[in-house]
Amino acid sequence: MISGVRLFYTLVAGVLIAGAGTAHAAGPVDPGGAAWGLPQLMQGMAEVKSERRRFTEKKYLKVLTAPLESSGVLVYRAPGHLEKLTLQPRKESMVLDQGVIEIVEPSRHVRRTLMANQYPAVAALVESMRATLAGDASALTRYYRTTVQGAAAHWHLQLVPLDAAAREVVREIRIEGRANNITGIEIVGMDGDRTVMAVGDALPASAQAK
Amino acid sequence: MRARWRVVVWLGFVALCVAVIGRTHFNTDMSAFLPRSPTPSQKILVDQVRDGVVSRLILMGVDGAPPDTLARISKAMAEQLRKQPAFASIANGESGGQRRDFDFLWRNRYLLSPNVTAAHYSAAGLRASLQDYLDLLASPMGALAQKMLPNDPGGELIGMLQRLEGQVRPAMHGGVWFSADGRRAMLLAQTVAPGSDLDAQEQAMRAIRLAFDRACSAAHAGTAQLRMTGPGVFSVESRAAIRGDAMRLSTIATVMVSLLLLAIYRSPRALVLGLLPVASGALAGIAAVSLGFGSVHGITLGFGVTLIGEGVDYAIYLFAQVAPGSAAGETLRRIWPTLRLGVLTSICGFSAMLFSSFTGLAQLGLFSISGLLVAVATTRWVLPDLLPAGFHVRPRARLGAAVMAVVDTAPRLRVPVFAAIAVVAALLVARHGSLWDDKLGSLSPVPHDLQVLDEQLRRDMGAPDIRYMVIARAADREAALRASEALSDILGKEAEAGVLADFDAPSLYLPSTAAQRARQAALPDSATLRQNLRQALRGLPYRPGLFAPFLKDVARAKRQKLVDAAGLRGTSLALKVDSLLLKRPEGWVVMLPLRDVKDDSALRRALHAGGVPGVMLLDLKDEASGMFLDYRREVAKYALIGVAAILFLLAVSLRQARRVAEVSLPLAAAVVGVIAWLVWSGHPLTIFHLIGLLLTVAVGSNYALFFDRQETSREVRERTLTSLLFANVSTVIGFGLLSFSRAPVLAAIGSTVALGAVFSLLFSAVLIRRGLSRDG
Repeated sequence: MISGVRLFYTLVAGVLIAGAGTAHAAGPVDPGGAAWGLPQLMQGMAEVKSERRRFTEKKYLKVLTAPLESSGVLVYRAPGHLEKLTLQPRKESMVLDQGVIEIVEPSRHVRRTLMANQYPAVAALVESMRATLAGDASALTRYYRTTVQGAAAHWHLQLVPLDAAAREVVREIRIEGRANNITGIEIVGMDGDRTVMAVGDALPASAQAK
Repeated sequence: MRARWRVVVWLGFVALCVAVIGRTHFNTDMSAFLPRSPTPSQKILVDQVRDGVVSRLILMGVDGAPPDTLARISKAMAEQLRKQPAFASIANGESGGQRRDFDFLWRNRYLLSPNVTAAHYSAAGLRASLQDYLDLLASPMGALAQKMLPNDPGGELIGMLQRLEGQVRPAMHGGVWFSADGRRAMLLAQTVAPGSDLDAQEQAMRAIRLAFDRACSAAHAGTAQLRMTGPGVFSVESRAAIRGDAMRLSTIATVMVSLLLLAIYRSPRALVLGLLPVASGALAGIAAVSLGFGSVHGITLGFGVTLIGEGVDYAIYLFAQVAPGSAAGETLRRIWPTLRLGVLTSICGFSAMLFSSFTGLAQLGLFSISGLLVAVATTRWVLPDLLPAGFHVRPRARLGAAVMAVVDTAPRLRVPVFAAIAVVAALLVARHGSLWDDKLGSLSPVPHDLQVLDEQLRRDMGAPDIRYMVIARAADREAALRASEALSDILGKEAEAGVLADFDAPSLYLPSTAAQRARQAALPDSATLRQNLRQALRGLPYRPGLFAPFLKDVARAKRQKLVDAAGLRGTSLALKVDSLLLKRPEGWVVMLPLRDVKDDSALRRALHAGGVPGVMLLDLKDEASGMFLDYRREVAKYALIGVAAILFLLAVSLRQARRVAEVSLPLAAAVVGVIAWLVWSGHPLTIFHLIGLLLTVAVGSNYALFFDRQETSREVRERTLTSLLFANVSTVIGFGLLSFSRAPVLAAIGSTVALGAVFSLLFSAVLIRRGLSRDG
């Protein structure tokens, strides 16, 4: 009913999902040096099929004098399954699977299912994240202006939304990584809010079981 | 001279009937098949069906084009329709309307939210909500929460939004409602006119189609399709379907029966004359219903087809039995006692329906009785004068011989037929529990494909049928809203305990004046609130000065104008309040629909203990099927009374127990046979089959009575029986065609009677043996 509000919040959920990108295991990267860029980065990413990593996140909101901190686990399975499982300070989960987002907040009795493609901005954000992780460069550039800096060993990927609706919420997304590892993600909102996520090492294989 | 007068009187009568019919209103709404004297809880249901807000809803689905195109069409349609005075509201998920809802809730949050209490705005209460708010900011709802935080740290709006969010609603695409699979854009219109105003509903549907056509051509979407359902749409479409069927089937039946008669009579003049009794009967029947009930139900009209089958029999009996060289009047005098008894038994059968408390049934009864009376009277007093002198139907030697051969040998099957019928009857009695179709839909005059479409669109809309409702009555609006608030408190607690998932209440959008005043009084004054806030914020990481807008908003809310019905206008919440808070001649009724009731007895106990006066828990499913059972019981009762009346009449006229038994046995056998055939071919019985059986007895009694006659010569008997065969074929044509109707009612009656007529004739041949009378 209050779909303006719903849209807005869904957008944000999309952004957070987009922030839920997970790091990739180290793999062979073409050490081509000067020729290194988005295609090579994507090619390396595409080799990673599944993974679990810890994260810590700090949310800097302009209404607060101190950041809100949280931590948990990120899960990725190629080609389109992402989970952000927050463990501290409260259990929460957001799961993207084939374009469907499910949000569960047990402490507040919230369980919601959203179709990413019902909201153009969310579609852009979610699809681009999926595209990044799946190494789908053409899908990524459909939604974002991309800038890659650095080299395979240590790189920065800057994403600026092309879609007007997405730009109302997110100014840019900065992803930092080493080889096929994402090590950090920063989402800068239009109103000066920032979410900074540090992605840690891979969890042991035994933890792969759901 | 007297003959001419009779014709003049008849012509005058027919002209009168035509004049009455010309001014008749036809309707097809379900309400004719709802009880006239319902129980209080049934009355709420009936009122809702007849003219409640629910009856004014038109659900639209647009599909057959790419989603973006459908979204454009949806927006263009809504824009056009919103300008039209015939529609109270058009909802398609566009945020324009929701913006208004949001603004309304935001502006009035301190009056509307049940969480506004003195404790909630004390230092401790504020501190608790500010701590909760930190969690909220960290959660996926954080961005929305952050926007509202400076004005609403108590979380009033978020609380109300979450309530609304919890209610089921359709998916979205391109800013408008869509089905879950994304193939169909969904719109919901509310008409100003009630659902029972068919002409207004038809106009509304036309306006919707026009808007759709315009939107399509603007969007260059030639392939897009519009589908509509809703109570009004149902009525309009069934009226059209029944009218169409009645027209089409009557025409086909007339043509087929005419061909048959032409083949029998070999005289166009006799053919035309033979149709006169039927035509006069049908006109008289419609006119009588129109005068008696003020309007004619479409189903009654469709029934006209059946009269062609039965009414034409009278003329056949007369024409086919006129012996060469004798006058028609003479033949009539001879067969008149039998004919009269046949008509009387039919009338006995139908007169039971006259007293039904269901308008629809009573109309059928009146229609049949007046139709048959006029048809037989026309045959008796008008036809003989119009027949050319010396008219007779040339007997067909081979046909007559064949008929007589069958009739002579048929009684040998008596024992096997008896045995078979007895076995079948025993089997039916054994499974009497599963004979009936208990779905209310089987009662609906709505064609089956429309019912399926409706279910589909409702699913797409995410609007499941509501089964339970809490109802309370009150003297005025304020008292009704207070009852709604008291019930909301009870239901809220039960929902937390897991007894039900959720509920809706008008007081959530329009609280009582008392509740609004109490909330205003509960809000602290500016100085106190500032101090409470300062205490509450100690040690929490909120930016200093953040809550200035909150202090201002609360100060404003304390002297803000209270929310009333007028203030709601223009929001979709007004529609909710209108549908849940009703003014009735005897007072106000407030309705609280419940979702997912897990334990209705616990709920009943809680409501009882709550002490809100005049409360009841309404189980719509129970209510509807209860009504359905009442209906069936009533029809069954009248059918039995009708059968008893027929037996009484036969006893008085035939005077011999053996003859009465012989005449009624074939009819009973036919009824058993038809039921068996229906049940074993997978058609559970409905009320309309029952009416069909009553008709079977009425029609079949004519055959049995003619079989029962002791004729003076074998030749006369041959004529009599041949005329029965002709009459039977014409009846089967009339009713058999009816079974092709899209309206479930007509189809059920048609197939039952067509089969019953055949059975009646066959069983009469087998079970009734008559010699020739000695005295001549």
